[in-house]
Amino acid sequence: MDYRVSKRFVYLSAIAFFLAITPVYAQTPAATPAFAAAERALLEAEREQAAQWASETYQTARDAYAQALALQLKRKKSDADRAAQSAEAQAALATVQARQRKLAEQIERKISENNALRRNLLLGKGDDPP
Amino acid sequence: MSPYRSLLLLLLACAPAQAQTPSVDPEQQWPLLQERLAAVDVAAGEGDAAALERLQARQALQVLLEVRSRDRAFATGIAALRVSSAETALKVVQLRQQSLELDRERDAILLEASRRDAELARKQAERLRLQALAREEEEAQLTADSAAVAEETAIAGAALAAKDGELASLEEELAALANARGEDLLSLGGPDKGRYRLAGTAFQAGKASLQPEARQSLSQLGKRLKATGKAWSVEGFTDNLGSEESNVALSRQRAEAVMAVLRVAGVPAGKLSAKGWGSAKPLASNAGKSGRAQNRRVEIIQK
Repeated sequence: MDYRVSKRFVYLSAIAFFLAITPVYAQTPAATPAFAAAERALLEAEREQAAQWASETYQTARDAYAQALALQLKRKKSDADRAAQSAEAQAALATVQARQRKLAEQIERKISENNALRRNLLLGKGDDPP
Repeated sequence: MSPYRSLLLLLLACAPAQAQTPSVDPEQQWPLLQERLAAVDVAAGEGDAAALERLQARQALQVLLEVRSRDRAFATGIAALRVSSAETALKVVQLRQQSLELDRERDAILLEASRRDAELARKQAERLRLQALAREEEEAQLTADSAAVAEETAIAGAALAAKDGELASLEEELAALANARGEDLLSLGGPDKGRYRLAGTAFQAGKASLQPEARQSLSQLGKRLKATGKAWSVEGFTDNLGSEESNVALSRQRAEAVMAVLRVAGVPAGKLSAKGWGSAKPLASNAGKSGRAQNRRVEIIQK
């Protein structure tokens, strides 16, 4: 039996191989504007410490982002984009919620401090010394 | 159930305002979301408070109007999130304003406290100034009082010196008159000031009985001695004739006789004392008659 392979066979095999793998690389998920926006929004939420101040909304955003990634890997581009949009909207909400709660706590502290100041500086020291 | 509807349900459950929404039907959500966004716009006024979030919410609501029915649930969820973000962002703006107002309030409290501290310090300084002023006035008054007292003392001292002078001159005049009239009572001046001498002729010879004239003179002297308020020693002396024992006894008796007249004239007993010296302390020589006459005497001496 002649095991030598003709050059034509080799060329044809190489062409067939590349034709076979090219679509796979061509379909690798690429970053979309929706994903980029979701990632920016999540980073902003982290900067505002949303994990601490708006944990529930922030976690929902992260879950949506994870779902978007999973859908992207399944080549479900449209569904992945929607999940990314949802993640971005949730992250934006978590960001403003974190700001609101931090400010609310800050205001409570300031009210308490002002009351203490008023009590100590104005009420306590108001009387003339004997 | 589609995954979008599940997501919408999840989002609606998470959004606080959405939780109050009685229905989750996307068709019914648009007007409610639009109403909420309009309320946010009204609250924001003409300013650019939460401008980005309001714009995103408006865009989401616009998308909701334009999407196909199968995408409406997802778009409604996104719009709900955007409206919630706009509402929350507006609250953030309002809280920032409140925080700034609290900062201003704190500054005002500190300013008021500083003002009150300054006022207290000013009052304290004023109080100290008034106290110092009062002390100065008191010291000035004391100084004036001291000066007045010193002046009064000086005046009184001058008056007293004048009276002493008058008294001394009167005593000198009296002594001069007594000498001129040969009386027995002699007021001594100079170094012997405060000393009176009664001659031995004031007594009967060898006795302690006073002559009537001498008693009268002593009575007048007693009134003057009483006025001085001072203590006096009455001391008797004799010449050297006879025994010394009898001379001491006689001199003492004569001194006691004089002291008795002075007491009757008002000089307190506690201010008087009597002593007999006998022939001791002679004024002149006992060899001659004249000297012995001088030695017989009673002296009234200021203590």
